[in-house]
Amino acid sequence: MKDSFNPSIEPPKKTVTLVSSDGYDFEVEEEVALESQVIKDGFEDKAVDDREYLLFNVHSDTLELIIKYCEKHVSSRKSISAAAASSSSSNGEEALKEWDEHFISVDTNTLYDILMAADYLNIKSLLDLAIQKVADTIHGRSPEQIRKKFNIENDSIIDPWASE
Amino acid sequence: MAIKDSVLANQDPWRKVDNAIVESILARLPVADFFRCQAVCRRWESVICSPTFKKATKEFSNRLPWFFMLGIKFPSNVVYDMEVDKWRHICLQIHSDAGIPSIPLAASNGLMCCVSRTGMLFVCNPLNGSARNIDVVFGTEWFKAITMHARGSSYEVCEICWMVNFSLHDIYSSLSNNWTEFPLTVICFDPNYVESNNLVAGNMLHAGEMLLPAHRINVEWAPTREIEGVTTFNSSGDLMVYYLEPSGQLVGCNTNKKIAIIYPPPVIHGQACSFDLAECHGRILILLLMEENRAETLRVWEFHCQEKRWNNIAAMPLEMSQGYNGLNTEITCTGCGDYIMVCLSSMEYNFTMTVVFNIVENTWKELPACLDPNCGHPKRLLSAFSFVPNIEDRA
Repeated sequence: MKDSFNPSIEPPKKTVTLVSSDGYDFEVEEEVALESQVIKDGFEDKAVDDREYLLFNVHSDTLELIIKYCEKHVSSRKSISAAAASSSSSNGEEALKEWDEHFISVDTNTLYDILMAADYLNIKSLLDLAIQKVADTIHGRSPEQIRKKFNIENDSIIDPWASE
Repeated sequence: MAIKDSVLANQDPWRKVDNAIVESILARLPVADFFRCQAVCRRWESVICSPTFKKATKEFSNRLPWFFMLGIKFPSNVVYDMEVDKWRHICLQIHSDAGIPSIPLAASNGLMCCVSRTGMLFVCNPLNGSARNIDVVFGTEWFKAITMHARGSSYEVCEICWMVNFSLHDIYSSLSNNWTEFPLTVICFDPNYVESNNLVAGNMLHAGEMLLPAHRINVEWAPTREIEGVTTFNSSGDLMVYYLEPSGQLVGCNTNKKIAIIYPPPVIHGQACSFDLAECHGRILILLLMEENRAETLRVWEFHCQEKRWNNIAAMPLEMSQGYNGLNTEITCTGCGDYIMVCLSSMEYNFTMTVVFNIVENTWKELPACLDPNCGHPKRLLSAFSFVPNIEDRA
């Protein structure tokens, strides 16, 4: 059976269906969906015709962004390793970093949605990116500014002794 | 209650982010932000105060130092925060006695050693306020030098005191909570001694015969004359204590083998004006302000063991040196990680300049004037102590 394998013919791309909390279907390539550790875990045990995932915690607006992120990272990884194999110089890593930076430059609410979805789907690199962005947003702000930015209720009983 | 909670949850979606994520967000911030974040809400406060948070901050352990500045006015309440590359006006929790803050003498890692108004010696963490009184053997007026070495919450403080015609070395260990004298059995003028282990009889002197000024000089502490020495570990894992004699000679003491090594002074072509000792990544350096060809330059010297001589490894760029030429400038410096903070000052000419030297990249950066937030005038800064900000370590 293996003998009949012909590398010049690409096998049809396998896809899975992701269903957002508001009921939209997103058909994505298997390797893109597998960026999520949650989907990856137990993926092999699932029947091939039953590769549909109901993501109760992810709204379609956020899911669209998440898929965009995963697609970019899958394709970038391929082109980076291809460049490494042909030992041609590539600034793929740099370019991807820049892309990430642009991708995560969103308003606080969207950032929150991405953070929660990345945590729920367990996409480590995206979770890391979102956490760093939130930290960057907090950095250098006063407690009052932080509360306002993140809409946090002030129940604090301490006076900050550090003043600037 | 349940209704109120759900209303709040709506207004404040960040409440739904679990503690582990809040923790990893906050742990990435520069230390100065921790204090602001504690005051945001009770939940953030409890995250920052939890024991797991301390572990999480350790993952980002490559923390850059803070330089605690001493100025003409004490306390100056200024640190230079390398994490954000900025002056920070902050009231550190340094031990105080009857409202008068103690004066720092040495610092290492997250801890600082200081002397109180009444002459008591304290070790404290200037960020969390934890402090311990370590009874001194001799009063600080006898101090020739003091060094401190801290790893987390355990530390050693070493004092070198003037005696009639020799130096007395005492070391305090936080583990035993006790001072012990370490008499130096061998005084050696050959810096190669420890490496070669090949002691020539002629090189040996007894402690009492150490060639030091026979009269006691009252080394009164002044911010322009630091008595802080430096510590490192040598290749055999022995704690080494280095300090400068007032003459400029470097003395290195092996606290384990009880050997003191007296290093020859750097050979310079010109007149030495002012100097100080610094340590960076275990490298012992002397920063020397000298006059050569009628111009003052600041040079960095490092001892080369094989060649038995000092090598000039860096010099401040000429255009930067022009600012203090002919001002009778004094220097003090302190090293931490890749950086050395250099303070240049002249009482006579009311002059202050602070420069950070990066030993890895060999770059010099003059810092902007540090303006007093109350009156807007530049603060006169004279010396610095470096520590790594840390909210965990206890004295």
